[in-house]
Amino acid sequence: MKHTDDGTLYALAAAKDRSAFELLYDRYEKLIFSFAYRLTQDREIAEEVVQDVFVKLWNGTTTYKEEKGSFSSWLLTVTRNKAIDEIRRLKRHDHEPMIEKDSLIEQPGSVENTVEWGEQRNSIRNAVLELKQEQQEIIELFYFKGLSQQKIADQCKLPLGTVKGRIRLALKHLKGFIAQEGGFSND
Amino acid sequence: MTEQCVHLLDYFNRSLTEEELLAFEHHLEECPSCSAELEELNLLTEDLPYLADEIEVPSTLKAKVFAAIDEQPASVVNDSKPFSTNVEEFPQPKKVIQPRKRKGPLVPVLAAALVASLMTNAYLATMDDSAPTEVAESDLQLIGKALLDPQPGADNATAVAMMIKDNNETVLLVDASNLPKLKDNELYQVWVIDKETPQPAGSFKPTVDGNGSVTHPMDQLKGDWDTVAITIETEPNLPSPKGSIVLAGNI
Repeated sequence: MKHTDDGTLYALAAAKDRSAFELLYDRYEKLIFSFAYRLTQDREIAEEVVQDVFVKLWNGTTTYKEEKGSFSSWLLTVTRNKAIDEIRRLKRHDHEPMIEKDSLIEQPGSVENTVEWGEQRNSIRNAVLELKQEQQEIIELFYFKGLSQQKIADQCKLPLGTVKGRIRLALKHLKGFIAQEGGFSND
Repeated sequence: MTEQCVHLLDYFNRSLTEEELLAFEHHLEECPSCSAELEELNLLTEDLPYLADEIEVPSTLKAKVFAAIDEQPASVVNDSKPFSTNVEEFPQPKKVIQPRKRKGPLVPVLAAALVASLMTNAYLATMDDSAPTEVAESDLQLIGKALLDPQPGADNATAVAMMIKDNNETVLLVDASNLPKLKDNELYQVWVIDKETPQPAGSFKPTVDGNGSVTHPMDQLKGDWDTVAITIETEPNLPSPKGSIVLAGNI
């Protein structure tokens, strides 16, 4: 149901229905901000990412099509792309994002109108913990840090040609463990 | 496997140079193996965002985002549904448009008639507690929507009334723009009208730009009302309107 509703709201928002856009914003603000923060480890940059994602959604610079998968997955991909671009841009300018060391401390969720994902998080986290340490690390470097293949090879001390295989294997194992955890669909 | 195939991960992680990117995108169209692998990567990583801890969102973020949106050039024509202005008195506002629920799928017919700035600053009036933030959970449905018709003296005012259902709760959301300025002691009052019987459905003070919005639980509204109106009052939620009507329309 949520999937269908997202699609309807998106269609209205794409036609400049501001109320529909606002409802989408309210629904995803927290998830997008939290994910952007997880990627950038910097509140200011995470805010910029949220702003960029939603402004582009509103003005049609990025457009969602249902054949691309669920709206939420698409929105999260757009968010990750922007966050990775920002991290890279700031690094180029020698501006390391400030890392807030206590970022993993859980904040209680509050409002009812937003997507909540505590259950999914626990189940994925349990699945991650079943992975070998090096598999956890390679997923962190690849997906959350967005490092290039060469940098992953350097950091993990792997031959360049084996990086892709290692990443795929780690991700496949993770997917399998998530399924064992009872599995969930984020849509 | 071609020379290009090795760029898949760097394409996914956006670390290709512009030149490499163009070459790889071209390659992607012709290489089923890379397309399939890319799709697989997307699938295998789709759960990962949900590893993020829930972080409290800065209270000013929404205002920033919507301010940025308001700086964008408007791309919606705002005169596609000209308003008529010849309504004479309160209980019989001119019927402007049919309720959205009778129009079939939620295609943006009415949305096209909304001025681009319709919801400008609405969130400012409603960020704290009330309003749209109460109605955005999963099973949200827009079940009815209508533009309100500006009355003489408020010719530039626009407003939209929406009935939004969220699981078990349905609310009436009214959002207005370009409202005439009020005196200090005045406010805007929303009414729903069943034949000639009005009942209050929320009040608000507009922003300096003349925008404002309010939501009201539908289950507090009795009767078979079909008209929504906005008046200027000096007290909220009177039993019946005393002030002049600014906007009205059928829903």
